[in-house]
Amino acid sequence: MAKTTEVLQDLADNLDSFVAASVVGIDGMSVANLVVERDFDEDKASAALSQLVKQSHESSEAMDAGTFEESITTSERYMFLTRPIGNDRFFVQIVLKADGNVGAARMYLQDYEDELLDTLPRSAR
Amino acid sequence: MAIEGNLQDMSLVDIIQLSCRNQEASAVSLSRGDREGAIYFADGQVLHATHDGEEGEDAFYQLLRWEEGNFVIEKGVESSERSIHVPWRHLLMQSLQRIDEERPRSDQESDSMANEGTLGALADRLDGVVAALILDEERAAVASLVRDEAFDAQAAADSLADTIGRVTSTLSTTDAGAFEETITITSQYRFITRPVGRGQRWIQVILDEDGSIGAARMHLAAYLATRAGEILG
Repeated sequence: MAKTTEVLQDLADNLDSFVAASVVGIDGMSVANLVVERDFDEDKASAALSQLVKQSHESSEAMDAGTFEESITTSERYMFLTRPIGNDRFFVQIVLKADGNVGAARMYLQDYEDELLDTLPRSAR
Repeated sequence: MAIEGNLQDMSLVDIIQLSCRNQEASAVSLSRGDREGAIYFADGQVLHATHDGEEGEDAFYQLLRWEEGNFVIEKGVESSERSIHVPWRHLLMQSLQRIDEERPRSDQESDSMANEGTLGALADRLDGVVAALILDEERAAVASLVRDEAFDAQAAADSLADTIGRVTSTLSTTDAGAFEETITITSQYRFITRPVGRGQRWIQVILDEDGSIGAARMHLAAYLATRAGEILG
């Protein structure tokens, strides 16, 4: 079985403008990460995005909008993709530079979701 | 290796951006019913486009109007012809603005205030619109349009205010620069949100589960590029 970071590396190899990727617990703690841009603070990003994911779960419930599946946020410098995996206590985040291709990132994130899930303990799936 | 897909899953704008950034020779073939077209890329530029007997920038523009259809991307395919000579970013923006400008405008759209007519004009360009909202700087709803009565627009406005706050905080924490767009996808809806101006207003379009995110991003960006002033008042 591959390690989580190995799967993240495979995912990163398919994406241009890649900055970082992580599997993060909903508590904000990163389980595994891969960072290629030195200036990017992955720990801060994981903590901040975990709050956004938590809020997205709560908003989906409050609006009766079904299950939260994905979020994509674009800023002047970066593009952040998050997608809950397994039992929703974890999520995958991918960070690209702002000129990255969101369509490709979504496609590859979905393609690698099962492989990433296989690297996590059974209790997390 | 060929990549196949549907334009509702990956918009043509995304495909063009991806192909130009890859810098490699490639071709994307498009089909919708009995209509066909193709765009050829090399060295990070768009070289050639065909659409139902047309070639060049007009063919490119016609293909960009497609919101539905199938595509096949093939790497290593080289075009023997060249009908396009402008930089791809310029070509793309020019075509998106042309799409926006050629759409019919209603009387309500000429109203300079941010109102339901403005939202309606935007919603008319997209399939699967459930609702659309405009919030002010204090994140209070100033306009809303609801096309599905089962949808709770007030709950959506409250949620949007929370989302804007959380995203703004996340971007500040990560030194990510100005907020440009956020998309939230649930099993039932797709929420696309953008600031208008420097955050004096916020606009959100809510699509049903079949709505095309690529089309919504494209039209919302083009709409705000030319008509943000109407929303800001």
